[in-house]
Amino acid sequence: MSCQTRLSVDELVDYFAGDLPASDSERIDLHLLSCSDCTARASALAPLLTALREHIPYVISTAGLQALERRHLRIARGEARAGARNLVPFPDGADLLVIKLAAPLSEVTHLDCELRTPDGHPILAIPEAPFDAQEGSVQLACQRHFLERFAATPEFTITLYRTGVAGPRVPIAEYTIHHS
Amino acid sequence: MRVSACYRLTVHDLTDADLASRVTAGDAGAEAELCRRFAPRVRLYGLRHLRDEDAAGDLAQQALMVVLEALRAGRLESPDRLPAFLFGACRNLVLSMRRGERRTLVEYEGEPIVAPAEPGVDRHRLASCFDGLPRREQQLLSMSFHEERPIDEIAAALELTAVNARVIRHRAIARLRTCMEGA
Repeated sequence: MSCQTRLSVDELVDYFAGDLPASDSERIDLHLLSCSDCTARASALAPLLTALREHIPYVISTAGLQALERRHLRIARGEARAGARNLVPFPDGADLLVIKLAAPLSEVTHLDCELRTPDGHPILAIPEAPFDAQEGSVQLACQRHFLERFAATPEFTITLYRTGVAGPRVPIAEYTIHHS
Repeated sequence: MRVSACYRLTVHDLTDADLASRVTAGDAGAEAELCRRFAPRVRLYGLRHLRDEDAAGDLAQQALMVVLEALRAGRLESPDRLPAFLFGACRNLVLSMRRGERRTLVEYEGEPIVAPAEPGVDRHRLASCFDGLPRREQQLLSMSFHEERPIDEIAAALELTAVNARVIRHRAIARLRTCMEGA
């Protein structure tokens, strides 16, 4: 039987993101349970969207950290002080190490982060990073597979820059972090 | 010369309702076809509501056990009601699984009735493709799928309209899919 109400990719994205009203979401639930054509199309999309849920950004917001806690990941926590060399080991058994970087952020509206090797070689640039202005913190999410990816550089520096539409880009804090 | 065409309808050609009727009649082949046909559909329901590949696989196994038992016992009022029955079963099972009753809902023995899912997404490739997206698209995808925030809230945080946020999200996913397919 061919499908008479073919679901669009856009509709499916909204459905899997949980952004449809309950009645529309139920209509799609029922349709997918009865339609092989739309199931085939949705099956080509759903694994990617599910994987996106598990894709952890380099810098996470408080909402992102709460989402990770809901998924019962083993999260280790560390802190780093600006202007210091911080030893923050990645504990055995942890899935993720969240390092809280304390910084004066109360006046900041936009923030960029840059990671470099100790000799200044760029590792990562993270423009428009999330931060908590009130608490004055940025949360760096170190993942276990980074240890392999950056095995040659167990130590790195991270610089926070205040940015804005009109103003210049100004460094506001720098941290050196060593993992082992 | 008289030519006659002989065509035997296989279970693959049956409608969902006819398949349900054949299961009730005790056709083992129809049971296997029902599981093959409905497992991907239930998995999608699980991915939407449980947001986890393993849990979605568990749901498919459990829901199809419930459906097969109902069909064998003739408890389905009409075979046309199979999707609605399955929907009800999935909804109840998801509620139970969210309460932490996973794997204890229906006892079953022997081989799983649902085939394993296809190999998943290449996470390293995904990370690489994600890093290649414009920053605004990365932010939108992270806020939608990682942080699980509603689109209206995301739009407000990024100073966009909800319509524009949806457009950017859809464009980002199209880009990601293209990048992933180019692996």
